[in-house]
Amino acid sequence: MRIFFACSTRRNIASLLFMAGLLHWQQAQADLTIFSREVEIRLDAGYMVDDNVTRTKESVDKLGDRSYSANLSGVMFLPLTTHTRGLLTLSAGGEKFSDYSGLNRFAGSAQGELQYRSSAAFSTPTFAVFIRTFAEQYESLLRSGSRYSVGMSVRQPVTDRINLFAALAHNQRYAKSAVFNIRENSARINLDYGLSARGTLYLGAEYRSGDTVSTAQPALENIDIADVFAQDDAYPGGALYGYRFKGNTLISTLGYNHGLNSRNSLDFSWRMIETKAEERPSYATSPSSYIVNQYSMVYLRSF
Amino acid sequence: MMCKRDVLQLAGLLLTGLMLTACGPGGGNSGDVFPRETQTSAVVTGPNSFLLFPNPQKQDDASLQTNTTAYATAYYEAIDPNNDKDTLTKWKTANGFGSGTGTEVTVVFGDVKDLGYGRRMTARQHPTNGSLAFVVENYLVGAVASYTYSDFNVEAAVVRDSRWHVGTNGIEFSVSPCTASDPAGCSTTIKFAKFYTFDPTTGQRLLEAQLDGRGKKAMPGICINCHGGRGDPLTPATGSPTGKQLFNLVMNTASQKRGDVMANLQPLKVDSFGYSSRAGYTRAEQEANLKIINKMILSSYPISVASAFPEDTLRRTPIVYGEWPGTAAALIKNAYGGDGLPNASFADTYLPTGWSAGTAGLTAENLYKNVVVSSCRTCHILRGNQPMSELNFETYAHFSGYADRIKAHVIDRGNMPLAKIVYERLWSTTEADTLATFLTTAQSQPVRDANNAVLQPGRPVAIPGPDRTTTSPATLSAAGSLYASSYSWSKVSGTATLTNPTSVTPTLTGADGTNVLRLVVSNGTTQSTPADVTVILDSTLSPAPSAIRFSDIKAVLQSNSVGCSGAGCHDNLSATPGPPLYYTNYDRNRDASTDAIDDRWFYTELRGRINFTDIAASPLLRKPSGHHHGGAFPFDPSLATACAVAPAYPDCSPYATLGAYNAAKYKMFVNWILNGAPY
Repeated sequence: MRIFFACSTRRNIASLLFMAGLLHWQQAQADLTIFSREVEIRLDAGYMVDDNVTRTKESVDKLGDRSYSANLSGVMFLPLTTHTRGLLTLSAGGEKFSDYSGLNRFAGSAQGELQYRSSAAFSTPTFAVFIRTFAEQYESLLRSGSRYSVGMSVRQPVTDRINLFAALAHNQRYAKSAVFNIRENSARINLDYGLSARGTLYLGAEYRSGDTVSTAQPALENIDIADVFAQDDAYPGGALYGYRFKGNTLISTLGYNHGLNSRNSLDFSWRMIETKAEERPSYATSPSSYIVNQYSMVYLRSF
Repeated sequence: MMCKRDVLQLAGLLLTGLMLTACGPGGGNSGDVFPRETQTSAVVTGPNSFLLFPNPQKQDDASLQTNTTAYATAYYEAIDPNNDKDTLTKWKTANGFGSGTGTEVTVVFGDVKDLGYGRRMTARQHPTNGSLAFVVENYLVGAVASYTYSDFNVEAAVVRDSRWHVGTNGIEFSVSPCTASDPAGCSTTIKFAKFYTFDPTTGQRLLEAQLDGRGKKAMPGICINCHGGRGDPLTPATGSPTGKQLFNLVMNTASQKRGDVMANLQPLKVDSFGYSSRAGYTRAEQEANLKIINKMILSSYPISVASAFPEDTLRRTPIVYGEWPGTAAALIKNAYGGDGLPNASFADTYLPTGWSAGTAGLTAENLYKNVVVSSCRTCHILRGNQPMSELNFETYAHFSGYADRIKAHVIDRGNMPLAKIVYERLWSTTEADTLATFLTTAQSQPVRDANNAVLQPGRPVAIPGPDRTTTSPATLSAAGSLYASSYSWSKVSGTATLTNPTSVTPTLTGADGTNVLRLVVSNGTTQSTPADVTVILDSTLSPAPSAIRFSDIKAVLQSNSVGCSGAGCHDNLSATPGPPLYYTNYDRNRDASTDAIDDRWFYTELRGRINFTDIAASPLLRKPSGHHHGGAFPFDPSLATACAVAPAYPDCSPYATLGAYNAAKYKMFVNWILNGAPY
């Protein structure tokens, strides 16, 4: 995978330091695993088809693409007290698109999570608060920047086959262009259903409210509801503009995870994203929302 | 549990991760546009005289009278003396909009090549008297770029998006009541064009409007300067029937009504517009209505001889002496296939005979098609009058006859093309180069730098003023220079002494004789090319330059010796309409006496023929000295009318020492103007 560094020297140095740190950590984790199974390394490689990478309403503006991704992550479990533990997750990876290279990105993230469980009883929920920071470098200069997320979650085993997960989060994104400076709040719920010892079906729903971005040709309707817009450099020709506006998004997910063995699995999912702008000019004739379908297949391996 | 080493390793990892995320949002993207923020006027750099008259009537206090609210007030008082149309609602009612009578059509288009707006125009023709009225809503989606054309503007006009509605214009072609301020010959039956602008929200009539993102400018100048109108000065308040300054009476109008500035309606150049793709608003769907409007506009043009073609039946005939002769009618007729307007669609293939390759040569034809059509014709086709039509640029000879002024306006001053979008197009395309080739090759005007690049306005230009004969000490002035912040005078020849040579107004002191001074002006590190001025010191001049007054000038103008009077032009009051200005003494303010007040009014009118922003362009100097004058050229220095040949002229001396008698008068005029043209 090609890694793109088009920003400042400061960023290049930071990225190199991160890579050096990652190598250092990989070396170190060999020692850590000696002590216990408190550190887990995960690798995933995926392929996704997205029928609306421009996140737009009008069919003339809708562009589809396929992407390949790879991520390496390390999760460190840190027991703190009898009822609490910390999780530190570091990950690095990238995504490459077939047609619209401006969307190609390299990203690194760090997440800290504090979990609490009052007892070891099966039905006891696990509560958590988390904070996540995420840096990403796109080929599109407008998009490069960072993201932050804070929130809380709860995991609740319902039966030995069914698990529930719910989370509330506040997310912020900062980018070179204000179009991609985003603030939003989200509420998410996930249900896992174990079909068999190896297969898990999962359903998810997420509601987001706040800033959202759509890319489309110049249209008065978009300008009238946009907080900011700019020519989108992710798409060739300069004819498309990214518009940021207030909107509400519903993300529905249906997936199936199939364990190949104790450390390898395949995951198949379909996500449907529907976003509706909060404002709509009286003269608007376009559809009131845009819909995205994402079909993905991911190979996961843990070490 | 973790050991100390593990904790350190973890901390190291966190640090690297945080450094990576610290890349943060960076420095922002200059292409971001925030449409909800209040749009501000562009920071003005370089030329900034768009939509102003080349002669804006600069006053002693440096104000530009045609760009003042006083000017707009006087205009509205002239065209709407009873204040019946001070809101858009009243104006529309007065013009019968929505009455169900007459012809009323609406079109929406993008004014791509001129003002850049999306425009929703509803045009109306009165069922019986043929009066016309046009209400035009202008839309500018300023969020896209502070001021330029974009397709958004048309879309905003289609959906009538109030957020981007920047103003509403009302244009009439109608009669107007005559008042005590108007002359006896004022007509209540001859229609003329009138221009209003209204607030887009309140509908109140406005004195000023911002058309191009460069600040508000006063009515009616922003409209009439490209509709063929004149920007003459207001009358004095003293002696006015209303006690207020009146809008000037343009002497060569058919209506003889104050407020008739000889402006006319612009043809809709249909194939230069942008259109929406929305149903009902495509060009094809609007073509018929656009033609109806162009026929209305054509009906407002005077015609020399009555025509039987249907589109001509409402046209006023004959053309009166001194008025615009309906030049643009040929463009409209050509675009619709000629007399009878047989074609349904507008196609601008208009090439005046005087520009065709057969008449003027292929180079001329290319010049017309590639420069004149896009940068000059819109305004100039509504200019020129019956005896002096050269300003209409309808022939190559007309255009090339103005080569010196084209160079001054386009290359040096940057006040033409008149509209910012047109100006920017000229300088961002090959138009400027084509024009420069014409100016250099055909007219020997120096308009390129050492690298052969076309000189652009905004660079410092040294203007030391006209050559003169004056007395010592003589005050020079570089104030007419362009885009300059520092000045450097030097002496090329002569014996006089130059003091304060780095000031705007140095002094030249010395004995009688000829001196050549050189001026170089700078703006930062950019220097102008040198410009020389010849100053002859002559202690025998009488009256001395500083003592020349209006009475001296009037005496020359009323003297048969220079030909301004006695030839049936500037003195023949019975020949109204006639020239723009009469030089005889008459009751100008209509108070039944010809007195000192009339003299003051005469002075004000004459002062309007001086361009204090560009003295060399003053009609008072240019017309009698051989430039585009319907009459003679009495001040032409080439005339050998020496005092020795005409000793009967009592005022021959002392200017006779300068050579030809009339050339001497010319130099007296120069001295008067350089001294501020005092009364």
